[in-house]
Amino acid sequence: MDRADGWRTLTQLLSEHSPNDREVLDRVIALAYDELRHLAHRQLSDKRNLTLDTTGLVDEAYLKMVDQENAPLGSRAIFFGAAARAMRQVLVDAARRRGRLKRGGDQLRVTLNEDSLSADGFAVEILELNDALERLERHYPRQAQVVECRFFGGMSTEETAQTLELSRRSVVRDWTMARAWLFREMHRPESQGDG
Amino acid sequence: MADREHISIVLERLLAMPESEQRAELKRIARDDPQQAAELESLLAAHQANPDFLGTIDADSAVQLLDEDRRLLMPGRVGDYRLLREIGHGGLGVVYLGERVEGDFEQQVAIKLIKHGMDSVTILRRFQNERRILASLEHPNIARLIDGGMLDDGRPWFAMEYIRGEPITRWCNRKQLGFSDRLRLFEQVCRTVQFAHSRLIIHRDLKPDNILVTVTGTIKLLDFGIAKLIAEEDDELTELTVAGNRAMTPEYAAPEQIRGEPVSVATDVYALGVVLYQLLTGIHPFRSDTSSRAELTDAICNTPPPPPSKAFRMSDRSDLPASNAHHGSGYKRLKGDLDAIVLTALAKAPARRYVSAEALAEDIHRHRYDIPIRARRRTFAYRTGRFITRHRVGVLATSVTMLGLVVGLTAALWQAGKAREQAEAALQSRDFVISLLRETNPVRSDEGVELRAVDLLRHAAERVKTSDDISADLQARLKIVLTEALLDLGQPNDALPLAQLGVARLHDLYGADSPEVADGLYALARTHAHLGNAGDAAQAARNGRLIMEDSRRTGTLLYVRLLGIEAHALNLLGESVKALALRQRIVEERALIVGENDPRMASAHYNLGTAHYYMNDFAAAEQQYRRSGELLQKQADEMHPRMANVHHGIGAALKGQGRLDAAEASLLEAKAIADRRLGPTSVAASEIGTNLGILYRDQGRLQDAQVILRDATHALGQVGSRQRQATAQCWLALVLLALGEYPEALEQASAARSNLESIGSSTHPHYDMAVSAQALALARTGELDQAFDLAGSVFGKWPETDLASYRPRAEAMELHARLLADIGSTDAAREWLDLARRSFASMLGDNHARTLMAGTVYPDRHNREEARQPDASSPP
Repeated sequence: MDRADGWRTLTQLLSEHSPNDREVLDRVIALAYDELRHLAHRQLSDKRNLTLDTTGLVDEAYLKMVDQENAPLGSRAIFFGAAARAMRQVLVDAARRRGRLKRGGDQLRVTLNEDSLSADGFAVEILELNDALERLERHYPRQAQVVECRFFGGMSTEETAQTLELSRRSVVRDWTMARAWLFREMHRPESQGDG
Repeated sequence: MADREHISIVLERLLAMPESEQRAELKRIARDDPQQAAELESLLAAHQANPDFLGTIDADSAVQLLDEDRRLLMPGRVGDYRLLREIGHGGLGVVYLGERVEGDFEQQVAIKLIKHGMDSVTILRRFQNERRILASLEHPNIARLIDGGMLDDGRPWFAMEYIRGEPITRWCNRKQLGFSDRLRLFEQVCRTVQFAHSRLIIHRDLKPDNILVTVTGTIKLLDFGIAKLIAEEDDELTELTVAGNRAMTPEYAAPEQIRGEPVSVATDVYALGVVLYQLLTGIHPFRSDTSSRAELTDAICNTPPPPPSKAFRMSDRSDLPASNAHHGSGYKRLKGDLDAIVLTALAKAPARRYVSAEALAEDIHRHRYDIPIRARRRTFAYRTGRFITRHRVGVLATSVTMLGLVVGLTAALWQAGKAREQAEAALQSRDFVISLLRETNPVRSDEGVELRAVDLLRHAAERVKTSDDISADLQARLKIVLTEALLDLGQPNDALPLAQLGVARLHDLYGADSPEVADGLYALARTHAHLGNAGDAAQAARNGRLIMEDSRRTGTLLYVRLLGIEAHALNLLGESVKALALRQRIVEERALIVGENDPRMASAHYNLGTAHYYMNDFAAAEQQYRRSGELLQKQADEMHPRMANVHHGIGAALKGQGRLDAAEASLLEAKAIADRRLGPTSVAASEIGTNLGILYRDQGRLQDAQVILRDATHALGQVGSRQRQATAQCWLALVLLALGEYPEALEQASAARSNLESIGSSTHPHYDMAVSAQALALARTGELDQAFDLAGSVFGKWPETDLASYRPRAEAMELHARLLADIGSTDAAREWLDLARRSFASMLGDNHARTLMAGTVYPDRHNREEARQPDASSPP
């Protein structure tokens, strides 16, 4: 964060820029990142809580960080979009750190469904997913965003539609396509290049 | 690219078809676009392979990953401490349990690791500054700050005494404590906070999470001073931003914190109030389950909280023991004292809260022991003053007074060791001044800077009286500074209530014998002096002086100034001998402080001159005045307003020595400067005018005297300086008597007298003169009986020795002589005239014009025509 121009509030940021302004999004992410990590930590320290309710976390962060009265229309969407991205980063960072510890471990390719058990495996999967997602972003940015919202952000189709200002049907379509794309990517012998 | 968008649509379409049709469709697409067809084919295959790919995130694993990541992120070592495990986290970062790496004993500490994204450099710099103070905050109920530093990655950390305990609210609920026990605990908390305040540390982030109770039931306060280290430095209007401590839930934030204004002791009091509220009612004063953040901050700033007694009824009472839980008794218990206490602590305006945590503790204590509490005795004449809002400073009116105000305030915080408060206070005062300038709209006038400054100051005075948003201490000091500024601009009437309030406030805050009060007393004494309330001035100054002497602060300028005011007042009261002694002392003391040739010695010499003058030692007076002028001209130009005073003094001294021409020249010069630099209607110009009038009278130029004395009485009346006006009125009365204008003379004499009486100065030298003049005037307007009663009252109370002391008394004697002559007591008349003449002679010399005039000043009763003849143009 560039402190030279001071901390402007999130609300101000949101009102000054259009939803697709990359810079704004980055800042929101940076701000949300810390907040989300804290929320996640807090949730996790409560031993009874075994689920990662991402939407709930993001909602809480949103309420905390944005002044609803003064926030312009569409702020919530922007915020949620950024938060989803931040969530992705949180997990990726954690996975990377873990990976550095366990250098040279098995690179298992397992499905990223609920059957997955170990945090190790999960970490590996997350990193691979992240790489694939980055590639998807290059070709199909909107679809990548849908993945972020649905998977990392834990949002419903409806919520995703609102966040990305798409129709419900578009979201469904994009989600279907993106999943197929990613699956294909992640199960190639050499995962690179255009599809 | 348009066709790329297309792909998801096509895919959707394909998926809606049965398999057989899919292949056909693909072939069709391949004809036009083989690439896309290939793409679609592979996507279809992928979809079919795993239609539920990426269904939902594996939450369990994610949780595990993050959980372990947390542990990974824990550094192994921080400073001299080894980290053992994470024990919590808050808005600022994570807290770990650590222990000292080397050490015979196991000291466990809590290490607070501040998160990334904070301005580490600033935080650490502040820590270095504050460290000694914070670490010295040793109190059994405060978790001590032990150490601090920075990790390689730039994150600051602090090591604190490790406390195992529960937040006070939870503890009380779990133990099901009743009101009494809760109050007892809370009182302890307040006193602990007070301890920190007395070390000039404000917590800023008090909340139940920072107020722990250990297993043994001991209170432990955490995080003192940390918030300040973390606090952002910025001037802009900010909301609660994420990066700063203020980002966290504002539940315990005071209105001023939410608005980003400087904090003070009262901020901590507020937070304590919220905690108390929760302890007593179980709920938060403003937050409800459904309120959004914006609603919460709005409520904190603008909505009065429901009184605890009322809130009690609304809350779930399962946390309190049965006896308290019962609605009826809870309500009854809370209503009254406790309502008042809590609401006082929660006042929106800092100045309306308890002035200290101790005051809050005291009231709770009183309540517990059935003594009447203070909160209810206050009458909240609640004027909705506007809160200070921080503005961007646009174009500041460059009024020197305003700058002086801020500077003066900083100077006012002269007490050593108050560096931190000074910064905060300066900030508060700067904001105050800024907001003031924004709010007043100076009239565009050609009368120059002074008019505007006066308006600003008057407005400032009003604001300070009603201003709820600056701390009590600051308010008191501001009052003092404003008083002085108002006096400098010649507005003593406005200054007086301010000065009195200021002293009272300082008295409350610091005690009757504190040096701070001496400061206030000085301003008060000056104000009284300006208004001519000599007795009050003398007393205030004397009290201040004694405080300074008792606290061994005699080598200070304040001490010298207090001496000065006291001497001045004593002069006004006619205690010339004492005054002279003080004045001499002042010259000595001041010379010790600044050196005898320093220009700043000018006023000391001047005042000594005046003291000599009142003792009729005119030659010595002249010498001192001249010395003063010499010193003054080292740093000021000829036309400096204070040169007016100097010339005035020299003129008066020359007049006393009978050198009337030279006196006139000096006085005229003085008046010219005063007229030009201070205004023809200023007090200084009017006083000089009065002296000129007396001079003209001595020279026999009665018309000139009359004119100038009239101007003076009028101007002095406008300014409200009753004592000086009375003086001028007396002399005017004498001139009018000499001119034979008896009704008007009576008017002036009576006015002079009632002026003096209204300020309680019936011992004033001019009082007797006024009465005598009045008596003669009455006699000459036919009211002989009244005249006689009056005359008798005057002389009845003179002790023999004083007869020769004062010119005004000598004048009174002559008036009396004339009165006696009027009624035919020629012998008595001659006696009194003789007395008068001897008085004049002893004061002024045998050859002084006035001495020579004695007996011929007032026309014979039957010779009014004589009096109306043209004046002698040259003195005898």
